Amino acid sequence: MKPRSELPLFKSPEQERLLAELFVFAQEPLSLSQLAQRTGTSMGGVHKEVERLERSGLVVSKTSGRSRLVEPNRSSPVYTELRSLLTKSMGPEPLLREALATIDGIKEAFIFGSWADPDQMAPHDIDLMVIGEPDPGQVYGAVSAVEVEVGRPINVVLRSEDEWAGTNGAFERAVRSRPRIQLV
Amino acid sequence: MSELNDLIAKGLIEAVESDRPMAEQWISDARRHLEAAQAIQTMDPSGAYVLAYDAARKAVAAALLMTGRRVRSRPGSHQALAQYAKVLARETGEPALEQFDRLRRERNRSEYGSRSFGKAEVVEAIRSAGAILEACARQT
Repeated sequence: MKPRSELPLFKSPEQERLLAELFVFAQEPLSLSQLAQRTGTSMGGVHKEVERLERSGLVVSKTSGRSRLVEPNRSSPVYTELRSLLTKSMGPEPLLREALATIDGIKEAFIFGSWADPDQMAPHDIDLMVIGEPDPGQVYGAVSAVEVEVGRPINVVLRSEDEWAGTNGAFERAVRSRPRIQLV
Repeated sequence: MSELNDLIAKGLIEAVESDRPMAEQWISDARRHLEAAQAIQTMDPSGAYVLAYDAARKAVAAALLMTGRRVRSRPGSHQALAQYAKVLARETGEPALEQFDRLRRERNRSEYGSRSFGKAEVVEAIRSAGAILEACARQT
């Protein structure tokens, strides 16, 4: 993942990346060395930051064998808000928005499914709905580039405006009734 | 190549005799599947998508067979073939093969009711499967 925050709220870009790995991308608790590797920061730097975050109640850690495993503190009163801010600044959202902006013919695009649901942990893949008449090859090409950056598959559903408005099967009803993150 | 060795080490791909007649048979089966997909795409978009995917799958399997290997019949075999398609894409410089895994994933999701297909998606799947087929036919 590339650091490309547009939200200068955090103490340092390194802190923001560390928080994003924990709050947005991690599917399980991460060791300090995994965090160092994923954020491109030194072990010492990660250790210091994790100490600080744990003291402030934003993350929790436990020891497993010789590793210290860190995860977000989901009972923190700011957990949901912080995760949402980090997803907007460092998650697939800005990358997809930027990638889709260059493609003609897209009327609407949004992330749906588990990724858009604030109550669920980072799922393995991301579901993307694109509505309009873009060149499908261009959409898949743009999405493939983002897949590499976020390190997980992005499933694309492509619909014309008429198809989307005129169909209300089980799949469409499920998409309509659940949370979404609007991109276009 | 190491990725391919990995698939062999994991028992997902096995060595067999290279079999040109069989590979050619699979390529011609794939062509027929694609023609059928084209013919039914309006009547049955999901069926057309599945056929287009199957055409691409047989074409990739044919290219693999020409190298004296095949995917073993066990869970994960389609995924193993998709990994081979990526290896082949790099080896041959055929970008069409990069799209095989997307076809596989979307077809898989449709089997479990996680999605349905729009017209443009089916048209693109048929186009993409056709490009994969031609890329694989050049290997046989």
